[in-house]
Amino acid sequence: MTDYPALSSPPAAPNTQPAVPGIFARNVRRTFGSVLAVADVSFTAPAAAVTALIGPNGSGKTTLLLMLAGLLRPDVGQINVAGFDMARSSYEARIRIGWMPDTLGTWDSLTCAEILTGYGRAYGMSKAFATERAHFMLRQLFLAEYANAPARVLSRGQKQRLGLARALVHDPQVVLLDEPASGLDPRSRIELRDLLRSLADAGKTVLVSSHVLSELEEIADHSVFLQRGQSIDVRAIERNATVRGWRLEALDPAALQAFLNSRNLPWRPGSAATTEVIVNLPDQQAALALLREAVAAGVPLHTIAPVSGRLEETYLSLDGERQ
Amino acid sequence: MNTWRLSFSGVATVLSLELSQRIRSKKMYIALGVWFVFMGFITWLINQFFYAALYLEAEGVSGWLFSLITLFVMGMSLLVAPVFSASAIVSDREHGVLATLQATKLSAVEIAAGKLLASWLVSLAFVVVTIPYVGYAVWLGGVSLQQVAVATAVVFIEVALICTIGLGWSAITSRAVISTVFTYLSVAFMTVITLIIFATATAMTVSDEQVSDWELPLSAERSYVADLNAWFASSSNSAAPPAPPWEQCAWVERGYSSSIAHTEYTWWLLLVNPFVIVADAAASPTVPLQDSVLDSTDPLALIKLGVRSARIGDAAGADNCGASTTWLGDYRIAPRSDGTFTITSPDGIAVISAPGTKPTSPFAGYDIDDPVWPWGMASNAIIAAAFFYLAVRRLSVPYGVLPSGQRVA
Repeated sequence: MTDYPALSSPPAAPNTQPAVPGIFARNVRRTFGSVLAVADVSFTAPAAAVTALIGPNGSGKTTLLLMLAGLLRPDVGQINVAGFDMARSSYEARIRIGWMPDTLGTWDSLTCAEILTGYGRAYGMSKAFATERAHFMLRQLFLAEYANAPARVLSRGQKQRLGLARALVHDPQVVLLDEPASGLDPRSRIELRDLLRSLADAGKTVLVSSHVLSELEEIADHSVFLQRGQSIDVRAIERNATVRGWRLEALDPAALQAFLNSRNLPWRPGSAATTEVIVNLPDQQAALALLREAVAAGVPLHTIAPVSGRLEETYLSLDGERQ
Repeated sequence: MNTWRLSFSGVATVLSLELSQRIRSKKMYIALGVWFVFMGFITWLINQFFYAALYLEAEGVSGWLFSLITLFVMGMSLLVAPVFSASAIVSDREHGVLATLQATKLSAVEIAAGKLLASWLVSLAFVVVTIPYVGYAVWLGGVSLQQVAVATAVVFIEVALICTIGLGWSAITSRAVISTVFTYLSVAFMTVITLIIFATATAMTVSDEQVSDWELPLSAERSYVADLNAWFASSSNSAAPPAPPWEQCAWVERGYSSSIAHTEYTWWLLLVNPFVIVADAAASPTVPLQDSVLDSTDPLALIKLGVRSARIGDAAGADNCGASTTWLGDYRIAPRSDGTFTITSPDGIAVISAPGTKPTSPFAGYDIDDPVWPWGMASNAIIAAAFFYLAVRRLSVPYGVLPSGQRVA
């Protein structure tokens, strides 16, 4: 029997081993009949890190995750997960993967504990150990009080957490999560974030697809962008996306506006509820320079921040490319 | 690839997941209760009809009761089994749990076998609750426990067959409704449609043929009858009477034609029919057809007689050459297993003949005592194996080609 450590246990020793293999995909392509779902995707998701998979609806995220989970065979391309080649050893790879699908189903008449025990058994655990593990997972995901409740009484967010518990029940080395945050309340999202972080800290490879970009930005170490079935070179996009909006707010709005006018910087009012203004700046260096000058000029500036998250900006530039 | 890796714990995992869902539903127990009461009612009806209305002896009622209950249980099992099997895989697919099971250590064959076992066991519950009524037929007498055991075993096996067909359909369709329809169509095909095909095909084999019988020519018969007359007239016989001279048998043309249905070419169409299989395996014994007297005339015995006669087929002519009981003159000649014959004189004196020529029959073929059910079971096993293979193939991941309209998860 494999020894299943607690979810958040840190690595036993400092990582002196060569890097544990995570996910590696090269030139992956998959069609359904005449529909091209994934055209050409290449990316790497290293172990001990959280990688975000970002893309608009229909960009091929779910199909890609199915191929990574060992359920769908790519037409072309190479996939390695947890050090196993999917084309040759999909079973070996599959049992080291915890996959959570976007549409989560459960057997409505079974209790949460029974469902998790069943999956534990399906991963080859003994009955006693699977039961123990099921209750451990329920505690980890704050579902302990629902252990003996049928899955149909759970709310959407609770079901989502149950799905997460199911994906992690066998302590997988690689975790693939398709929209795990959808349906979660803000508190659960923070807990999810902490959970994913602790998984990565414990040396797991975590790949998360999501639309909640602000959440991903806080947690993801790497990002993979998908557009129309193709992985996008993010650095190229960031080079193109030179001008971003910056939000400035001062205790004395008039002084700030006068300062901007004196520097010939075009500005526009920001959110109506505040006195903030928006200016376009080419990069962070320019933002720093502006901040220094404003402080030197005695403007009581207290806030300067990019208008949107970096991921969101990149995401929006994807949409821009689409047109 | 681990499609065909089979472990006991893997099958048990799927089985317990499936069973714990079904056992929990109250509908299941209500259906079982209704079914028990219904079968009791049917038993009572048959009992009243044959016992009270027709004043049959207990043994006659027993044969009929056993036959009708067996056919009824078989029929209802064929209707119940698709309900539990035809949704096995497709409903998990519809509920979005199939893919998460496929992603585990479980192999395709473990998932298929676990689901098959679960639907089989649930369907069997419906067979098992009818056992008290079959027991009643045994208690009346005239039905052996062996017949009951065989009938029950055949019903169990046929239910497994239907469950496998349902499993196969549920693996390749994307909607539970469609899978159920196809499973019921398969049941209809095996029971009713093959019967219609058999009737149609048999009608096409009917032809007018000149009748000739294989028998002793009249001269040979007369000379033998004269020998027997002399033997029986003599008061001091030291030796047994001579055996009939079967070696002189020849075709004797009758000079008219008759319409012959060659069921020997079409009988195999009845093989897959579960009712034929259970009847052939479990019916009360019949005495040879040629005597035209049956020990038992209950439905199972008639079906058995029908299918075996169909296999023997019909010919324009008869074999009157000693293979079975024959009349030569006024003497009744019955073959014995050691090659001698029992000769009964018109006065009713029976003696055993001297050993003689073993009769040769041009109608060499199947005997009425040769069972049909092993062939039926074999044909069913082939069908079941094909559907099970189909189910396993369609559960095997990673998917290469996906049928249109089907999602992985």
